[in-house]
Amino acid sequence: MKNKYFLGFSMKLSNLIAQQIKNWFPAQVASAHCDGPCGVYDPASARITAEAVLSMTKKIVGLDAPAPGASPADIVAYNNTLSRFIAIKEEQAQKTKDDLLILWTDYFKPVHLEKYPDLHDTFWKAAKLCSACKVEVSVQHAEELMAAVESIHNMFWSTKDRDVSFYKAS
Amino acid sequence: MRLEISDCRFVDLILLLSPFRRRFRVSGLSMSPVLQDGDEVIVKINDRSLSSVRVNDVVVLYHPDRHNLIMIKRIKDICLKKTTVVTPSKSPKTIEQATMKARQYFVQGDNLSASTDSRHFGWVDENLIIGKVVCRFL
Repeated sequence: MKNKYFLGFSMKLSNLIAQQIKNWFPAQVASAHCDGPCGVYDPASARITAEAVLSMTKKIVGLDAPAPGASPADIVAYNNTLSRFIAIKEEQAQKTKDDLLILWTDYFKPVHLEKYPDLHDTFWKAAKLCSACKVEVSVQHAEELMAAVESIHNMFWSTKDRDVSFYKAS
Repeated sequence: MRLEISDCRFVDLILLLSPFRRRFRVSGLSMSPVLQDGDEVIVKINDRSLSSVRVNDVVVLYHPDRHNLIMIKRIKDICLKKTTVVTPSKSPKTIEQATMKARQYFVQGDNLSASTDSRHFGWVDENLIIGKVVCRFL
């Protein structure tokens, strides 16, 4: 009983002391932020995922459906392959969108907008294309997304006064 | 594996008076949900023997490229890296080289999508670690 009373008193005293310490001596800040501290941005990540979207879209379009009367194993294999292609396409499209939005909202500043008045429009349309590629199976939209990523790539590196040529891994 | 941070005890408040403990206020959400924006922690200052720092400990450290920026992250891996140290010798015409093993740390935020960490700036040298979080300040 005495022990319980002592613990309660100790906690109250600790809280009181802590509050006074907080008021009198503000603590130093330890940053737990994202992006800001390192300032490392690169549209390459969006390019890789956009390429994956285009690749998977082409694979889905080119995938042969099992012929009528195909064995159950062939049908299962087809369903499995198609499901995996769709899952990867949607995942990569979402990643592309995330990467583009980070570039748009965190890297680009008002000063860049003066140089590129269509900056907002470019990113907005690119983000819309990511959504379209995620929802649909459209080679045309996937190719338009690659073109949008390329124009963002050129815009990005020109803000750094660096000539980085656009290339594809596939 | 201990991921939670213990609460402050009375003895921790007493120790805070010593030069071996410092308070830090967390700013941002990269350590969420364990540490939220505005939480305060008590840190045991690096005493040049970080052997007590282990994987999954939360540490306060300097950013490798921006030394005026203090961050809070969790240690995900520790490695020993061989480095060559040049030390001045008694003879002015010669220098002495010694190979020593230095510890390096891979740090990450708990909230990966809201964290800039070793995934971006790589392994962190031991001398950048300010200290290990020992408990949450009340």
